[in-house]
Amino acid sequence: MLFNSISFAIFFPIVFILYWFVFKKNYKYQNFLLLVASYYFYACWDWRFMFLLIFSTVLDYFSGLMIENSKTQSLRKLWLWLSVGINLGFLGFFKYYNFFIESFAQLFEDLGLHINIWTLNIILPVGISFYTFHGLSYVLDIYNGKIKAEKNFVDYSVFVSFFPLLVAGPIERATHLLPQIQKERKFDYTKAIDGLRQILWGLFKKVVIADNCAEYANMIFNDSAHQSGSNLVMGALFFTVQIYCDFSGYSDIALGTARLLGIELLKNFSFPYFSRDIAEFWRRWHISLSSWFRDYLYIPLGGSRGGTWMKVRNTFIIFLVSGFWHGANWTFIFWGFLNALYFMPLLLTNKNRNNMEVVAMGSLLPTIKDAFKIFLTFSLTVFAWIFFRAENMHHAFSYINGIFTKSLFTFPTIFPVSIIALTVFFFIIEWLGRENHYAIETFGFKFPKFFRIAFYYLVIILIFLFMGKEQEFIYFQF
Amino acid sequence: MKKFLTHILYFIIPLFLVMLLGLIVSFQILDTKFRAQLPNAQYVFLGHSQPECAIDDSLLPHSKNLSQGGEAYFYTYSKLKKIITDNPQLRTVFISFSNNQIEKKMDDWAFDDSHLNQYYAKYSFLMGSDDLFLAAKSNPSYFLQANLASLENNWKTIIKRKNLTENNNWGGYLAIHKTKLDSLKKVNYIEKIIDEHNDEISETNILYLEKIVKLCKTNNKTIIFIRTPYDKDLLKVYNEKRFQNIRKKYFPEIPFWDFRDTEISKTGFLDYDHLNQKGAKEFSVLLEKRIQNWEKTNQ
Repeated sequence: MLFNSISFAIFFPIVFILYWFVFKKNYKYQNFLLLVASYYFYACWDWRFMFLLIFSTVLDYFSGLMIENSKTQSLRKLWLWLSVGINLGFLGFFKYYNFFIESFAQLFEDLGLHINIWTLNIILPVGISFYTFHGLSYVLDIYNGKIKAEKNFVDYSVFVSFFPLLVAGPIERATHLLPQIQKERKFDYTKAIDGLRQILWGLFKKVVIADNCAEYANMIFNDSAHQSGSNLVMGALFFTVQIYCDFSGYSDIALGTARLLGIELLKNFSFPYFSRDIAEFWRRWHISLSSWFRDYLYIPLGGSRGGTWMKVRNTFIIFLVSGFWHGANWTFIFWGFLNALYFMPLLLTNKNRNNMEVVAMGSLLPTIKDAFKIFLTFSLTVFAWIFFRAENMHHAFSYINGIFTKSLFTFPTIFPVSIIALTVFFFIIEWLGRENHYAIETFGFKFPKFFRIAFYYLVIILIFLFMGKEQEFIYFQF
Repeated sequence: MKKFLTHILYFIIPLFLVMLLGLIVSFQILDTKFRAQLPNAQYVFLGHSQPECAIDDSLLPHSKNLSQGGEAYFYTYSKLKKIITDNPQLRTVFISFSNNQIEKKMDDWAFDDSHLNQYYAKYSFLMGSDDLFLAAKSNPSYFLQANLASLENNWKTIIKRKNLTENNNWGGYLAIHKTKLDSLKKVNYIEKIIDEHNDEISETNILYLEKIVKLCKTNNKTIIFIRTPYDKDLLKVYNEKRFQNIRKKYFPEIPFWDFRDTEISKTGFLDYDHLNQKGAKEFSVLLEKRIQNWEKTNQ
């Protein structure tokens, strides 16, 4: 069930009405409704893997209780490693089994040894990377004494499977989401309207911008050997816009949907393409994932304490694992490696914590220096996205080789004016709203209400006009 | 909460009304101000991809091929209403009638999401209430989206086009410049077609062919069924006896020009039931002769 589908447009209002009208008397009934709705939502994707979700939920629920109630440290550790091991085991099997088998086979082939391999026709369960990390953060937080184990199974299950974030995040923390589930929610008009506004913007990003850019990105990447250098640049740009609008659009819809139910989720994107350096980019892109790796991998490895070598090592580990998290392909790992390389100069010169505030705060335009930095950071990001999108390393390198030819200086033959105009319009709105949580949070508040309503109508009409070219959200594959 | 729901309704209702009005107005404009003109055409060819690829109308005087791949009779019927109204000079309507057109697959071609998105969006302004009701009943979950696609398509047509049939928007001869019949035969692809073949009948498609026949008769247009050439291997797939029984049962009086077994060069086929440009040229020349002879005997 995609967020931008008629099925969801029917499903969510039913859940909303039951939530605030029928079950409003007791938040525990609301939680039970959320659980049923979430499992139904997931079952619409593939009911077979619902059992995996339930198993993971039960495993972490009991592990959390056992970690808390164990009398000895070794027992606590045992339960922790049991939960971590099984969760990562499932993730590893479903996501990486064939990758490892094929990679080992290739390595042996390169050494002149032929081996027979046995790959499986494995279907990747939707959302496994996300709900597994929910569960892991929960048991790790209990082990580290940050939270108490949740005794109510329904409340815990809602935390794991809450449908707005179940299939593509944000990756929530028990310390942030569980307390909201455990208490009464009151309907708030302002927050509900704000939620609708964020859903509208998320749909616009996904349906109007991402899906249309995807059409051209796919066209160019799928036939990259026959494209001019300038077309290949356009393809990389289209994908850059596609992946941002697709993923952040989904997050906006998730956050807006949750807000309509009185629940606040973690912000996942904060205008990353206006970043002035790579460190800032990674503070603004897929925030829930990068903060997860920071808290549960980087800091336990020593973080920034210790010498330079340890900092470098830990940084590379984080970026490589982050790349690997995205998928079973060397291209993702290389993409992570590339980002680590980008990060190194900042880390080694202690400039990775510059640019903490919003760019050009309070001003309409950035300074020339900031504009240059944004352009440079954006260019590096676009270059890295080529690896992320390519089918394999060979494809990525031949794509890049294709860019740096004489045909780079020709006018692109693939230049859809209307889509590019819409994208420019989109980035102007994003720029104007960069100091907010999402671009149109306060858009038009200074003008009469009529103009704001007209803007919303325009956005809705554009969504309806472009709705036919439906593409699945990219991050569902993770 | 009351305030929230009230404000939502105040927001949604005008939007919905504007879109509904936009759809109705677009229907009116397209129906009254736009034409499906086929200048000088006395013969029109309609159907799906088989006649679309097989009939090169540049070789047939006073003819227009408006066949379109994937088009079920549900849409051909609506299209033909407009063609007949706007082209009083039209004398004969050739409708492709082949084995797959009586099969259940045609219901998908009429009402699945992709066909509603493409064909319903194009022809909905020509449909009567019973046609609209049938589409809504057959795919209720996508029907709303199909109407949104129709709204978009209609206004784009109004803004951009002068004639409904221009740029092959309503179909047209499609020249194919390759052949893959040999490679299909090498892998015995016909076995796969046989395995996947569904024998059930499409009552909807037969119903709409009956409506097409009645429409032609009401407007004094001659209607002729036509079946374009097949490769011989395709005969293993279909139940020809059943096909002929249905034709005789429902359309006994309609002339059937059956070119199924017509000899076409081996390299004239794209695949088992579609001709490429070379095959279309051969076939169209034969067809033209047939039409000339038929005109002589019917004068």
